[in-house]
Amino acid sequence: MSLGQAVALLEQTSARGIDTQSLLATCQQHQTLARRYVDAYRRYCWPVRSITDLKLAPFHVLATQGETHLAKDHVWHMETLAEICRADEQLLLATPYLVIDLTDADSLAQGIQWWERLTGQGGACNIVILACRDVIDHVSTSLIARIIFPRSFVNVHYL
Amino acid sequence: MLLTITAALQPATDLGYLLHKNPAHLQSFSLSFGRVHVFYPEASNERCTSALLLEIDTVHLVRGREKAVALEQF
Repeated sequence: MSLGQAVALLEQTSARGIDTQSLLATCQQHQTLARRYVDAYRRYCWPVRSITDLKLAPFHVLATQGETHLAKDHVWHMETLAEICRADEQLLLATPYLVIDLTDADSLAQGIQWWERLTGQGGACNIVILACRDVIDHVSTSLIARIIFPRSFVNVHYL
Repeated sequence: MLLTITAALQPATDLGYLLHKNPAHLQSFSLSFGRVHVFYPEASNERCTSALLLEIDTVHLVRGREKAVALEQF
């Protein structure tokens, strides 16, 4: 990694009495962050030699024969997928999810606690979907769908 | 990206004149893609090494001015 070489050369330059402190600190920080990122995503990578090494974590049923499922709410999707995932736990991973009532302080606190526990485990390479319960509510979905970022393999559902 | 070039022809510190960069200082420049730093890990009469370190601002390259923050970044 060139960051490691850059740090070594900056330390060598610093030993000559030249001020490299600010750049050295930046490079060291980038190096630390890059290592932590690698540590995080490596937990979700493994050698795939045959089909039994594949893992799928579905979070939405787009369509089945003769039917799309856009009109169904997210809870239906999660419950249906959890049931499907139980059929082959070797291949399919059920995605943990939690329904939070934003108007209920206890439910909100429970959601925050759940979220902090998941993110506290250090998972940084998964997918989080913050979604409205009702997927056909286009206005709110398009607004909230922007809050998709890599973090943990969970779904959060707003009522 | 890190690029180094070493001169061993004496006086080796003449490399500094060739590159128009003083071996006694770390110098930084802002360019369109981020920042560039030039410094000398060694600068003796026998050997002189100049290092060019590119600090590319990838976030700015993606989200730079006139580019809306949108889902395709993910």
